[in-house]
Amino acid sequence: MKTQLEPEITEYGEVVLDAFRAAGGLDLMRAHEGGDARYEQVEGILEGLGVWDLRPHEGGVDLQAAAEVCRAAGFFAAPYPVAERLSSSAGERTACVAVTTDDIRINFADAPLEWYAYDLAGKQGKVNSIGPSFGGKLASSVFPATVDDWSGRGDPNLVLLLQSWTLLGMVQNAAALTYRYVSERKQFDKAISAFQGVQFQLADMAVAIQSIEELCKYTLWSVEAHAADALVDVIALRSACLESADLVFRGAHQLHGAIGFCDETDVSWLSRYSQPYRRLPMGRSQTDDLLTTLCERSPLPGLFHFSSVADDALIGSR
Amino acid sequence: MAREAELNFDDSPDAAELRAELRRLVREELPPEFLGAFTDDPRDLETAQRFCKLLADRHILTLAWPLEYGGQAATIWKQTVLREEMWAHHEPRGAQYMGINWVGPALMRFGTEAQRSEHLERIASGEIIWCQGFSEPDAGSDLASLKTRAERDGDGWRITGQKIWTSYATMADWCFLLARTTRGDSKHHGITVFLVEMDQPGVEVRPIPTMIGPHHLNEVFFDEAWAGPESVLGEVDNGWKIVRDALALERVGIARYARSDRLLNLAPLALGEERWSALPRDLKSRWARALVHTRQARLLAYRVIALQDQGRVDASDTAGYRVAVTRLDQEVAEVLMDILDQRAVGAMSSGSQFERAVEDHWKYAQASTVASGSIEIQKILLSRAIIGAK
Repeated sequence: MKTQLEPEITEYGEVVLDAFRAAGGLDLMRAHEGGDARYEQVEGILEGLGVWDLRPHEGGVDLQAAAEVCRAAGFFAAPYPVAERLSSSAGERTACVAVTTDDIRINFADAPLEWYAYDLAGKQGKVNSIGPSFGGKLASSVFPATVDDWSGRGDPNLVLLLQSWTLLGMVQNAAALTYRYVSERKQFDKAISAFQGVQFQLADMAVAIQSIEELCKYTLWSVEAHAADALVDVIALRSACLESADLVFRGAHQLHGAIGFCDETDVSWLSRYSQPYRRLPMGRSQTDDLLTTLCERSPLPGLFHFSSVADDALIGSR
Repeated sequence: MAREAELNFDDSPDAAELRAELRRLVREELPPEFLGAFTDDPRDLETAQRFCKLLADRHILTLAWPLEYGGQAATIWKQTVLREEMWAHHEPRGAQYMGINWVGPALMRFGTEAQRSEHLERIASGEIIWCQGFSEPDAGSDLASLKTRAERDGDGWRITGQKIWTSYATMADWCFLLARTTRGDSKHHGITVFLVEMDQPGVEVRPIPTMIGPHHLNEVFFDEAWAGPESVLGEVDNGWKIVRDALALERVGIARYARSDRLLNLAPLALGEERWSALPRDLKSRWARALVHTRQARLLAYRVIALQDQGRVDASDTAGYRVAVTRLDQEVAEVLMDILDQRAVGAMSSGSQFERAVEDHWKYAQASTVASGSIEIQKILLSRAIIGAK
């Protein structure tokens, strides 16, 4: 049993976080949305840290390092398709997404990359046209795309996995900002963190995050160890991340009060830019529906796996 | 980077071997209708005592203990396997886990040579049962406000007061008792741990009937019960430190997720294809999500265990795990009862061991967010740890 990432992997993740922080953190996204595209800057930051030399498809430490990079990118909602580029096996300067319908929507699709789409059955197609951004507060970085030829084969598991790691980073920062805010904000002459109603919400947020931190690591391992059944693990992770994101962002907004909706706060930006990761290529209910179908075929591997009731020590022998 | 840098969530070969051995023992030594030691059928208690002897003979009962006390000094991961397999199969160690998991280790750490030689071997052999005299009618989550008092009498002590929610008190040989020896400014000072014999005048046990079954909850009345000078564990007035350390040994506690894992996985097979396919889609979805939550709770346990293995203690991780796993217990209980639908009432009289196990799980689950530190206290500890770290 080895459940912890090596210190050198987590230190690498910290280096990437520091690099984003030094470049302005969420100000990168603010500038990007304001029309001052930051793709080149983010690409350069990651280039300088050797990120594009990682081979996450080969698994092992490269996959772990790539996951930490995605978490760091999510932490600051970095304007670049980091998980999508790291997941693509189609060649240099390519990126990929998983899709579930013909209505294909891609986050940061206008980055200077060639795009590929994978459906969940493993078909692969090259994106041949990208339309204008959907715009608005939730979708300025999202673009419609089309694929004509689905003749290739490809594996959607890696991009789904790394997108969950990106969402983990977003959720971690939303919680960290909230913990800080409730410690500083005073009402009735005391920090609002002293109120039990607030403490209960903070505890629920913390449990939600701890739960997906562990599941994210587990799934890094399981996609290699159970490669043949990796889709159910990846979908289970997505289901858990979406559930946690709902809880944490709701708590973050509530505990920030009105200031949490304002553009001056980072939590507002994280909340908005988490939406593409939470809705694409499918929302929470759709993810859970797929999870149900997959689990009915074969329940999620756990401590117990039975092919008949007779396999169980107590029940089977009755 | 070397292969050992890679994550691995599989059992190590020695842990896998232990898991297989435990499953074999469960299959061969427990009757198929076994649902735990504490039922209305006294034969279940006998089964558990017999099973404990089997484990003791194989030195599995004291797996975690040092070799010098008859243990195996096993890795923390093998200890985890033992907890998982026992809880998944309705805890056939019965009341023994308390003596093994923390009374014994507390004696090793704080006991005198005489106390160790009197008690440890008997705990290791599975022969005696301990109960825990902590909670009182007015001291639950606020344990330090306990009022049971011990007063000097010659070279020993006379204990007077009332304990409540004391599991296994009717069958216990010994009580690990907290009593106030001095009244001071601090609630935490002046508490002493006594190792008290239960079979003596001045100790009266009154069972409290419960929905969970017999033996779980009792009141214990002490009326000038005798505790000799050899019965004080550690220093007089400094018992609070022992309690804190002893409870820290129970950081992960019961591996509740293991029973959820087993029952959720059995559900489709136990129902059969026809009944399963007729379930509402929403219920199947709750079942699938419960499988994910079960995996998450198990991984949170492993997070705490990995830290413990490195000698690190993180209050927020421990509390986080406890919140998640106790909530899981109740979520799984509701999902499984819904899966049984109308058969959930009358399950105990059904011929299906799965249905009986579901009812049993539901009843236990009602207590999971209350026992061993209520979920509210865990959440407060967790939020304080988070804010304190800011």
